[in-house]
Amino acid sequence: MSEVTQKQIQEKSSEQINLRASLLLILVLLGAGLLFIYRRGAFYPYVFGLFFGYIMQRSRFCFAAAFRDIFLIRNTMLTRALLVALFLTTLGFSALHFSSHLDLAVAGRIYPVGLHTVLGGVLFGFGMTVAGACVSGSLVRMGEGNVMQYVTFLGLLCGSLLGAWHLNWIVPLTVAKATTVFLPEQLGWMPALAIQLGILVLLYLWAVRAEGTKQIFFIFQKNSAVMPYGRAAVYLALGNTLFLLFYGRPWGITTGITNIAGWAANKFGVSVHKWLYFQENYRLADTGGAFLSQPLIFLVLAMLLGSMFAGLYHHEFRWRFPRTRRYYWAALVGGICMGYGSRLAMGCNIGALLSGISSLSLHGWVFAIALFPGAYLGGKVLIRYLLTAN
Amino acid sequence: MDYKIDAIGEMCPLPIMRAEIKLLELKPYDRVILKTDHSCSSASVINHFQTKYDYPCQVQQIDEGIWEIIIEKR
Repeated sequence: MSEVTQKQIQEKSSEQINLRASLLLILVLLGAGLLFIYRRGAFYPYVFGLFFGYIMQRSRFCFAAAFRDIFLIRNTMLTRALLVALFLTTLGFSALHFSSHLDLAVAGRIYPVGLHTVLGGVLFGFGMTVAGACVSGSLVRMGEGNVMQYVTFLGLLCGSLLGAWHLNWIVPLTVAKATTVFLPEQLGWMPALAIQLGILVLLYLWAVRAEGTKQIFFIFQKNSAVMPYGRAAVYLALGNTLFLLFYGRPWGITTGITNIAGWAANKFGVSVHKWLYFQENYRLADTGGAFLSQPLIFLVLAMLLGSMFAGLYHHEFRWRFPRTRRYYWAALVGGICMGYGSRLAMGCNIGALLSGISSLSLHGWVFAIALFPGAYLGGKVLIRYLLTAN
Repeated sequence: MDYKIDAIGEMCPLPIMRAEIKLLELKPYDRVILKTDHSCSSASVINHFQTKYDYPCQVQQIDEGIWEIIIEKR
């Protein structure tokens, strides 16, 4: 395409798109205002959801790639960016613990660790590789207009619901017997913090070696129109820390998704309110069993909207259809695996991995390790069935 | 020689993998011209080939949500 025609497209499109972006911005701000007045509890999840969605769209930060790219293309850029995010979020959460009213042992995402965490991690790792994005990434892609990820979302709803149902038997079997390990409780605050930060630095150096790159801090350099991964890691860590401060709990997504699924199932006459998951869900008890009042549902929606605004504003929004029908199956299967896995492990790459590890909970680390075999298997499926499907 | 890869509608990281397979076959100074509508690929493809292979890369947005990436083998 010649430069003249290209310029014409951009000039023409910029007028139309900025109108759409402005309209969306007005609606989004109106939504924030209404929540502030009528449902204050959901205001912060909504505002931070917009921020996370915007940053992830602008930077293309991807938690799935942090694991699968090691196997598939021997690239560790996003692995290193994730390690930076973990390092800074750990510092942020600990700083809040010592300088605010928050007690990380209570407010953090600290859950029992056991076989369910491992199984959940493997399933989740497989699902995110096959579906091409994890839960957070899928929401951001949905905002940009990727049709495939709407199918992933459907899979997530089904998988979460199935997982929440099975927890009725899985909880007495393993979860109830499993121990909850909050590292500062076992090791003391300073040793726990020093060991965790030390391990993260060592992993960064390992990732540099594994890739064989000489550009150790390339992830912080601006290379194109896109925000560098390293800078996004800083913003996400800052956002998660402020979210913990204002909302009282760290960033999490799948609780919101499971509650959407519970609401839908309830509409179809399934008595989900009798399930252990929905009974034990600490937020649901406060809101009298109304599924849609779970504040994290607003975070889910806001991440999509934040990404959509970023896409429209920067002329990157487009309805994108998958190349072959196989992608829809990959999205559905991947979504179900991730939904189910996140119920077993009690969180996704955000709730269990980023917020779990940063809360110095052992379950986050076990989940992270379990993601590797899952991502490896998913990579095999990707090469066998999807790379050749053109 | 220029080789075109049409990766419209392909999910991540398949565009990178296809470009990598092609570039390994090519001779120095041959170029791969990859067209993608995946926003992640528009960043990750050039990151990958610049840092790992030291191949010069260029990315240009040619339409709303569509990018053309030129990678030159060295």
